[in-house]
Amino acid sequence: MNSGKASLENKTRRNTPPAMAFLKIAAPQIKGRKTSLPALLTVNLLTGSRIFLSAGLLLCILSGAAGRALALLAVIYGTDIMDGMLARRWHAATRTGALFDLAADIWFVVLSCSALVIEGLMPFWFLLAAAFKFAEFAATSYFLSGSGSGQGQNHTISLPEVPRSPVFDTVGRLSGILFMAAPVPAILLNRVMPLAIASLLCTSLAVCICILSLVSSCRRLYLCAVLNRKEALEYS
Amino acid sequence: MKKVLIGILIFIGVIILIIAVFAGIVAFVVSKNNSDRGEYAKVLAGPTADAPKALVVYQPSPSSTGKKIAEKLAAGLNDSGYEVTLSYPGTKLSADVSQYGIIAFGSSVFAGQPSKVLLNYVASVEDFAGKNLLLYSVGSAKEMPELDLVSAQVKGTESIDKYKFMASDKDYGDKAYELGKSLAGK
Repeated sequence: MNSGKASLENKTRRNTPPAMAFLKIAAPQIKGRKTSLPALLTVNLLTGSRIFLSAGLLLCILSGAAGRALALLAVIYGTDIMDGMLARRWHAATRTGALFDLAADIWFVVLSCSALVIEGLMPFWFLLAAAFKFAEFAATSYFLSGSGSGQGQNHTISLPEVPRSPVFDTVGRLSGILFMAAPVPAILLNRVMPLAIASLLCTSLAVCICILSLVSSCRRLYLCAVLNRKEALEYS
Repeated sequence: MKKVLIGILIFIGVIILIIAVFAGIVAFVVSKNNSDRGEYAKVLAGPTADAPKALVVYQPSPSSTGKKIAEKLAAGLNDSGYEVTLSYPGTKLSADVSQYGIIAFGSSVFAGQPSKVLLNYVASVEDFAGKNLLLYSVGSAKEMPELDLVSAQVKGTESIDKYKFMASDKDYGDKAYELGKSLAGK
């Protein structure tokens, strides 16, 4: 992903107490460093291409073209790895770029999960779980990233002062990666295995991803509740 | 408190957005299932010039399953000595089916609804008397209320065979072929 940069993550770790050490803020704007326009364009075009590739993937899954769907998935994963790598190498990492990358990832997951659900390759609640996770991620990121933005100087718990940005946690990031990777086993298993075994394995995979996602959501929501309580106490 | 409210609003907004995307995809698939695909005729010649004739009318869906099932069904009939015509339903397909001994109608099902184009075509045929009639659908639920909707449009006969193909069933090709064979053997 085109997000958390090493320097910022180190800063985040230094300023963050142990209770919040698992959080990483994606705000990779590097001040004082000029980014060339072609580099910026290339990186964002790579990210943007994922939006169209995801639509193509949707059509491939719906038309039962498993081979083409797997090939497209490989290209999509390739662009996802490349845009982050190039952004770091060319110093083209921006906060807008990170948000765009995240939006492209969510778009990809929603489209691929919808296609898998319509084709009966994944259970419907898998899409609902993905929707819940992304909605929770957006809401808690808003809450958590704003907590250290200078509103209270005496916070017992505080995050670094950065503009509102996506806030990642390790378990959530892992569940996000698994949500993105889910189409590959779902398509392959339904091609290779007998139906009953493929369904069982796909459902088991979906359950594992949802448990990870739920653990991440619970931690984030708990943290939001703690921060909210602290702020309320400080205010009073 | 304001932050909590904004957080809740963001949560609801994202959920609504994702549901809207999913609804859009479903609407796209359903609209494809209900759109008139125009004229199409593929004839599988029988063993002799005077071979009995069969008609397979199916609504193609975004998924390739509908097409594969129709072609396998037609192959089963063809191998049993029938000259088979494969067609899409629509206003351009003749409603005169008097020359066919066996007629099969098929469609994918979304939300319990068969293709409207197929329904309209079946309703446009005046008389199915004396025909060997098969209605089939492709979907993910075992129940087949959609076939009752299609059979309600059939005029002139009460003898209708119904069959449901499961979208998740990988053996649908073989099952369709066998269904074609058994239909020809009736």
